[in-house]
Amino acid sequence: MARWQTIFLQLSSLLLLTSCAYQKLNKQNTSGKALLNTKALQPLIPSNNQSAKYKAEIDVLTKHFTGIVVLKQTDESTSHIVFVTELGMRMFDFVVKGDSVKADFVFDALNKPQFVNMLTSSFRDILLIPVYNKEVEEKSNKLGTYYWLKDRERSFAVWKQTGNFAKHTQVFNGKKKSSQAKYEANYSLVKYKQKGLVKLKINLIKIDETK
Amino acid sequence: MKHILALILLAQFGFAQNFKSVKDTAALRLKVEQMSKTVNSIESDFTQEKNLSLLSEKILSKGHFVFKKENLLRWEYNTPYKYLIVINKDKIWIKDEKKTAKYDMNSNKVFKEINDIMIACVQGNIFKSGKFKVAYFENEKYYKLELTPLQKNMKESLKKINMYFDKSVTSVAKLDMVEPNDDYTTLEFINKKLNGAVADNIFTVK
Repeated sequence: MARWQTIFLQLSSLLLLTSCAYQKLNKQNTSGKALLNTKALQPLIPSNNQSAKYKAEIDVLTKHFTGIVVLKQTDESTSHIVFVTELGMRMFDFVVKGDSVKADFVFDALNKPQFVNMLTSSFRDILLIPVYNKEVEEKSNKLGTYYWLKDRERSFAVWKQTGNFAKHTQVFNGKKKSSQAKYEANYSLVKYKQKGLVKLKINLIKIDETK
Repeated sequence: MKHILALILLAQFGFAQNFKSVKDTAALRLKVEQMSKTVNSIESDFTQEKNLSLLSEKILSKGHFVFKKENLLRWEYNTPYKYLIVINKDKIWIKDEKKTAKYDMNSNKVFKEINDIMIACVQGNIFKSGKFKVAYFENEKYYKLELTPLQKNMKESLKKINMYFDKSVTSVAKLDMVEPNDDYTTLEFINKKLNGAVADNIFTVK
């Protein structure tokens, strides 16, 4: 009985803490509102026919995948996220159009709807797609100024580093933190973590092609 | 004058790439089989170029590989980052900068398939597997074996493999792996050393 009480208490305090994080961010005074565009917050996918290549590590449940992720805009409204193994096998190709990310190709062994949905949704958040071209509130806390967006049941907080690169994001589903991403050195390093029953980690380390 | 020179160069390039069917395919098969039998070890550097056709992008990797009969392979990438695959009979190790994983080939169909293709490609005897329809071509520089998968599941991820041998058929010089969407991966082998002494302990990972 005492064991269940302890578990209940621990779960309650965890819920309280996660809700606290949401309340603290939501309750800060708004200093202004802005339409967030790619000038205010630099996108991870470069424009001008350039690509960004990352060494990628994807951990989901007990599976560990590594390879190279290529991010490239192919026309004005379309970009691709392509994951290729070290041996050159294409594992997936996701198409970014407007604010949606959809699978164009997934290697047969990985082509499970839940897994694909989780990945497309995570890359959508990593690439900050949900916040672009939306009216956001500007708020501040001890970590600095952040953009705050409530979009249906989800909320986003995005802190910036210098040069208008994102530094840190927290995403809430309702009042519970569902994921977070950390961006370092002008997007040279991206660390993404999804919380919940199925934990997902994505690390992207930029490949220096000048070497 | 410049235009004429460009045309000559283009014509030469076209000629160099121009493959025609091999007349005596039995003789070529025999040469390749002979090569597979006499080569007991291969050590070579390689460059790998992955071409993503839709994105007009290339991913370049470089590394070194060592093969030893029977079924021992160490395939090591040095750029763009370190990555190692070691095959030792029915075991396969994959080591990246953070983790080392060991798998039993018999319990994993995908690894078994990768192992079979890698070893057979390196040895050059992949056409003997019965999993491909083989067409034989040649030009001045190479013999080319064009391998088209016969199995449905392999067809989904592989359109064909082009395997190039130098005209003296001593080893595989180049490989193209073409995917159904026309993306392709080219592997080129350089600084090859055949039948040199190779220690067994490089085919394990601790």
